[in-house]
Amino acid sequence: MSSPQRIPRFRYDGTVTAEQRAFYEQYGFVVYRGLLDARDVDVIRRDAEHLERETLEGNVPAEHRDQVIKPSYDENGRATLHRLPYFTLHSANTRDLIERRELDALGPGLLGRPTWRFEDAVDGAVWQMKRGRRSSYSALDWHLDFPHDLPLTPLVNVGIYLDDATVRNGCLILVPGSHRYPPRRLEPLGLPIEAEAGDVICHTFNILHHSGPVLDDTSRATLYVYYSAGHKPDAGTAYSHRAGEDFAKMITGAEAGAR
Amino acid sequence: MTTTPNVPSEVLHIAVWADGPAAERDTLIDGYLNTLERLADPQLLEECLAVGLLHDTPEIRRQALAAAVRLAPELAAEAVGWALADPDESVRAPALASLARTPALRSAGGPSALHALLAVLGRSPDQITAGVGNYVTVADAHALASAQTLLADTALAATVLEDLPVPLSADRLPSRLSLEGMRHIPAGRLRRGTHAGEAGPFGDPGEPAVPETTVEGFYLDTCPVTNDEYDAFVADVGAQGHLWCHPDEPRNTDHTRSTADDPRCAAGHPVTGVSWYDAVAYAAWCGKRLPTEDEWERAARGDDHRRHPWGEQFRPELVRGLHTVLGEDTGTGPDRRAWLRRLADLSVPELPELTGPVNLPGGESPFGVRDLCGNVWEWTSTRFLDGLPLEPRFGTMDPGDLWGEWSAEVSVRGGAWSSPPALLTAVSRAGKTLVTRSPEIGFRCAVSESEVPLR
Repeated sequence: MSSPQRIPRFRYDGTVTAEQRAFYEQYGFVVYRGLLDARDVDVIRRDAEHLERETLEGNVPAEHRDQVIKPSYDENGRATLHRLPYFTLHSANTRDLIERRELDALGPGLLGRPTWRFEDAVDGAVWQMKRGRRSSYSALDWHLDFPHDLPLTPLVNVGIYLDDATVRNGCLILVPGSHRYPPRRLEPLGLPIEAEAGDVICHTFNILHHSGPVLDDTSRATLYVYYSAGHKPDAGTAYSHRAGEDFAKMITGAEAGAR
Repeated sequence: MTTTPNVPSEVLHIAVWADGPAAERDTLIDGYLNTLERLADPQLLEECLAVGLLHDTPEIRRQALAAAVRLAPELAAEAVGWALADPDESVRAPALASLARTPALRSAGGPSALHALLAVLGRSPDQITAGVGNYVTVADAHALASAQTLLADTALAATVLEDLPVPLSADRLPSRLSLEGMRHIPAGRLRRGTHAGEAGPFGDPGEPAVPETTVEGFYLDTCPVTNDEYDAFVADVGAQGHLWCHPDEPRNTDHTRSTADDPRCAAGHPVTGVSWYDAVAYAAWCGKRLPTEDEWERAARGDDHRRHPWGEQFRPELVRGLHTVLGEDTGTGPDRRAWLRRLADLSVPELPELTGPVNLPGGESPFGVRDLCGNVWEWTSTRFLDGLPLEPRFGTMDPGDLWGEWSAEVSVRGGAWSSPPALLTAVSRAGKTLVTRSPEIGFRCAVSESEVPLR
């Protein structure tokens, strides 16, 4: 019996309850089970396939293409992408789904004040794919998504899981409560959060987290939607992914970055 | 070091010398040794010798030892005793040689030297006399020879061997484990948490990641550990030492419960004011352990996964909660906010009573376990957030740094004298930092079927 047994899974009915928000504020994350059903997940998958194809064919504006993770190439030399920024800006069906499932209420519900969704700046909503084999993106070292003093903050990272995430395929591992206190153990003890396709994991922008390598043959896609209660930048403002990682480096001494 | 006008400058120089070329060190040592030769006041000589004997540099310690043997017979025996435990063998070896060569030294410091040697070489004179053992270095050979010389003095050997302390550790003591006062809970399934459609208890609105599990057979104390039972453990720790403690326990822990001076916490009441580490040490003392959260929940809910040990409905007369302490009738009880307001208004020092006696009749679980709900929350061996076993490794961290550390939160179960009906259930749970000592938290012990010796 090694997988976490009692991590609470919550239900979402379009509003964040006081108990859910209290849990989020104390531990820095909250897991919603089965927020999307299989058909919803398919909608996003189809949008991802379409946007990946459009990106590879050069039909997406250069400033909306990913600059962070290099593509991977299969045995036949065919490129696959690991990261699709500005996802909802280019995927009307997913945008519509997010609104129908009332995900926009997660931001104000968890942060306690009005929020805006990343759409046309700082990479917008981001689809990410982790693969084990022949991949340039499998694991990510300890990091924070955003430093605490960024004008965008506070914000919540809403991860929509499109595949099952397990310890074997490098699920999210975070340090509960590290958004409130810097970890004081010499080596922070992470809590692996396993999830099923359709689950949604929300976590604070400044919680220390990482994800392990994909050890099996599965691949794992997640769509990250961000809700900010901070300053809204102009459309097209670029995203600097180093900021959070540099901040994490100060804490852990580890070199952050994809490996 | 206190500087006095009498201490010669050569001694002060050597005292502050920490690092530098060997030639500089040797010059300082020459000056130091020449100065020692000139000192007439025996007390001042001893003080100045101690500077060298306790120096960080092995060469200075070695030279000071030789000087002590030569110049101060009263101090020499003690100095040799120190040097016998020196980690640097180049200091130990001359000390041992001095001991072997100098009968006066042996007569003055013989007992302490033999104690030190036996600590290094073992306790069996036969083994030492035969020279059989794990001896490989020059210092080992010197130590062996010195010990053989000292053991040849039969009067000295008899005195020292008689005085040797008996080494004691918990695993050498006879097990105290007794199943008396325990109930057997057979292996079975546990459906964790609330049933579908039921309201969750305060503070735990989520569903567990793994909703159902199997629990192996075990025994659980029928009642929580009482104050007098716990105090007997503390007295035994006083007599025998900290033999049962968790290895991660904070240094200098005193297991005395924080409620020891509170007359309201009577002998037959459940123990409170004990940390998780205290509870773990007590459980080890009686050959048991803390129950896992799943074990506790299965013992309370039975095979039909009931909400309270006695059934589905709340029965105020079967459980000691805030309604008992305040002498109120209760229906469904206050909502969470109202209850917290009442607690905030409560003056605990002025309450006539807090806990009540254990073994409250009528509220048994299907397995005959009593007092599971109410009176005191109970420590378990399970981490609160993920339900995995708690394995604290906080080492030298200050206990104050554990607040907010998720891996230091332990699951406590059952509700206490301060709880409303919504928390006095077999499903309510809360996370408390493991160093907490609260008048509302106690514990009981468990033992696995497989840990019970065959009869």
